Amino acid sequence: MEFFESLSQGFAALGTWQIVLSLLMGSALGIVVGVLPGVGPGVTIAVLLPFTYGMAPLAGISLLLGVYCGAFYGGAVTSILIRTPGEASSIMTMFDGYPMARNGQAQRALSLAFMSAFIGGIVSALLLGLAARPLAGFAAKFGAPESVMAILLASLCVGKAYQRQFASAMMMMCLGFFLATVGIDPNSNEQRYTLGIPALLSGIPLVPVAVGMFGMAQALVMVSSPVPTFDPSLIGRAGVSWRAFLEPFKYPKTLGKGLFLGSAIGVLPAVGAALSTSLAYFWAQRGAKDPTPFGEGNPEGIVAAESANNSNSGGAMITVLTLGIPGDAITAIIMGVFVVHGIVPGPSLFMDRPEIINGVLSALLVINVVILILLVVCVKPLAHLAYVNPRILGLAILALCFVGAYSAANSMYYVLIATVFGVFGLVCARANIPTIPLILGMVMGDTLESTLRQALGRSDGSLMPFIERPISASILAVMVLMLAWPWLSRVLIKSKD
Amino acid sequence: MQPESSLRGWSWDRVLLLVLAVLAGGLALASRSLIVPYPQAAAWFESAAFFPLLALGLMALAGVVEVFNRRRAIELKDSEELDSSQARMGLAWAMLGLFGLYMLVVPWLGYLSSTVLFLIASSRVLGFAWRTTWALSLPLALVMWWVFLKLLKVHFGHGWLI
Repeated sequence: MEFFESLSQGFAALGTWQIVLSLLMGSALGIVVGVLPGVGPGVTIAVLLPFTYGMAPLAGISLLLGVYCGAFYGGAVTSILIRTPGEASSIMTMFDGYPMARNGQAQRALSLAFMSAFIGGIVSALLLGLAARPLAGFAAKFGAPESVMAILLASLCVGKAYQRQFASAMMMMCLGFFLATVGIDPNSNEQRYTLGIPALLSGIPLVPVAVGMFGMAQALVMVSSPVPTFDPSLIGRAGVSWRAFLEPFKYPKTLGKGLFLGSAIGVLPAVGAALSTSLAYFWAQRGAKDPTPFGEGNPEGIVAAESANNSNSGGAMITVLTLGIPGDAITAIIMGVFVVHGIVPGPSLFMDRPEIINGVLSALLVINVVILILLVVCVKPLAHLAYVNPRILGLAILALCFVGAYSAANSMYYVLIATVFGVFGLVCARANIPTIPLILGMVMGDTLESTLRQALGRSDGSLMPFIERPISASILAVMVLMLAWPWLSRVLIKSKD
Repeated sequence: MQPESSLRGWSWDRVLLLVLAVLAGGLALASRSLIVPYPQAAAWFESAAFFPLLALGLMALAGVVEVFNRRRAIELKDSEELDSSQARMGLAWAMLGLFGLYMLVVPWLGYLSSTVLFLIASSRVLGFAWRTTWALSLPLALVMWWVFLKLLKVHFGHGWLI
């Protein structure tokens, strides 16, 4: 009952022209960037972020959520029609979507993908609504030691998500933590690492860093990479098939696998949709109902990948809203909108600003409906966006990065920061050093430092509260297990042999 | 990708990682002069230096570990990270140079004229034909000028031109 009340309050909160316009524009823009070659939601959200500052918080969040969700849908179009995934998370859709389209069933493949993604989006939004409040209630029991441990666990998950690059991911995360400390210390007023530069007294702002790392670096790669070639013969066949819209329901097991993995992995920090889609795809291969071999146009391959892909969005927002811990780079930037408007994500948000929580939940539901309608109406012209030269796009993004970074504070200093981090992002990408952990570190750094100092201050420097308090100790145990797991698994395998 | 077993020399990515680790270590060591005034009397856990030192120390450590790990080729998984393997770095640096000039010229010339010039110069560097260059540069610059300066009221100051 409480859930439905929240939902109706959320819909009421969306009822202003500014928010409705943001939802529509965000959704449309998200689909477009999903289809456009080389442009991802990260770039778009980073560039849009400064312009959300002048908006009401819910309008800004709705705009960015629209882009975030729309890109998940849009990525399937190019995967299916030209065998070029718009996003990393759309790769698995390509394996069966493209062969199906080659067999003259492009409309079936697209409809399967859109409907599976729609179900994923709606289920994950409902899950957010159902799980967020109890989780926030649990998180409200957190004191400083538990908050420290939760952030450390999130950081460890980020590092683990990079597998063989664990150390470099942790290095960048620590760099993010460090960058968050630059400026005047809010507790003691000391100037930290400002090098006597007055502009650094207020710290290194997140917006130009995000614009540089995600916008500029991506734009520079796009303009300097060769223009990809593709077979455009299937683009003219874009469209939807009403019969295929109902087809995902014929495979409830596969749909369930995708939804479960997408939602569960969405909650984990930094793991991202790419992993959930591939796991769901390989899981769907076991016990598939359709006899078509996977990789040759099996509809269950598309259903599994797309339902897992789009059910990430709600999961990723759960940790932002309940714990103030972003699930990935995009939700980290979305969290920036909260912070700029003085809204502190976390359990207290449910008491202080329920209209934001309810609004986000309702916005996610509305966005999925809007996107599906837009896709049904516009899929044919949208598919032609695949022809756009990525170099032209890169050039436009570069020009947008300039004005985006500048407009955050009407200052050329912000453009300079964006440029420095753009170069750094490009160099890191070239050296295969992950950059997403840096943004996550910057976003979580302030909270980690303040809660760590608070916890240690209360215990007079003793580390015992981290071990004595049950929740904190449990999180610590999970972390130790995660760190020791590679060694433990080797020992277990040896003992079995 | 090189086979797992083969040892790599001092490739530039390892050098970069080492430089980052050394920088982190250096910053940590120089913290006494980089935190003003340095909290001499504060307990370690209340000190403004505690958290940045911890972050820098861990960064240096992780950097050294990664340098060691990369003595062999690492297997990269699909991720959300930027893939720059196809990028021609010379072109990227040239574009960056033009962007730097653009930054310098905007306060001097004005937003619209600088943006047109930047887009024209960049399009030519990227090898677009003159027709494409004009068709891209003028409308894009005008739309951006109208949206950001007229509609969203972003203020760039007054240059010689618009």
